[in-house]
Amino acid sequence: MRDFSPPSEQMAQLKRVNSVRRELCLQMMVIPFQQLWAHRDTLTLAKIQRDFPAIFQSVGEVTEFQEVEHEGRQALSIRFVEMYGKESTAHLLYLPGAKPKVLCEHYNPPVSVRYPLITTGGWLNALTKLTARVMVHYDEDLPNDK
Amino acid sequence: MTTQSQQRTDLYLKLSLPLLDFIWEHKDRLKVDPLVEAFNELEHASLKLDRIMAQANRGRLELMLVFSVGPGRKPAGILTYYPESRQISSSIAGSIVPISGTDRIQTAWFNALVDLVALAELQVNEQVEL
Repeated sequence: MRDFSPPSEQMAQLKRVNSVRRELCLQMMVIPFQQLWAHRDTLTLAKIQRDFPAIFQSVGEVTEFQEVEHEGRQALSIRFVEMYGKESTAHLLYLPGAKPKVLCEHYNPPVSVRYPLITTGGWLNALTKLTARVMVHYDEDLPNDK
Repeated sequence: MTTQSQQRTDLYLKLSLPLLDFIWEHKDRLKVDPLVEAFNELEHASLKLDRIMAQANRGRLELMLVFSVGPGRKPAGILTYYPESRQISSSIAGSIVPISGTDRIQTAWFNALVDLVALAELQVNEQVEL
């Protein structure tokens, strides 16, 4: 049987790219998380599920949204679940002023190194879409950098 | 009132700026041909990259990323970044359209940009390590 897998050097390069990509996505999650953090007092999981049900065309919905204590600090905890099959999940945690963390993630079927978009990039897209809906709901604009 | 689509566009634009800043900041150190080649080898990328150009156009500095949807296809779109004003414009198939388009187009642009910057960052870091 012919082996279509890329050579190990190429695979190693892909892993490095995915690793950098993941870091970039986590850094970029700060902006949507800042917006969501600002509404943590009024935004509840029930409200999200009622007002913003399916937040992604093909990927996911929110199954947890709450302020939690993490290592002695207040943080925002969000869990996403993939809509189809509901077997891929991610648990994201945002501590204000820090890069968000992925506390756990599970992918079924497993994510290939060659097709990593469902991983952190997918959750970033889901987070961005949720944030856009929340901001429209509260009739807010993004803060100006200047 | 802002629509959800517009708000999402604004968010993506805001997220894209540091990515485009990175490419602009390191444009003189980036080896463009290997970067384009590496990008196009990523099997998950739904867009293919044709060209990256940093230039002055009518006295205005710009970074132009030309994408296509696949080998032999017509260009799908051009993403232009103006570093002096930190503005972004995009055109698809010759017509000026907002970067939003549909969710799918918007996500494809953004994912491509993230991939490109990940590769560029690796290239820059590898030069530092040498």
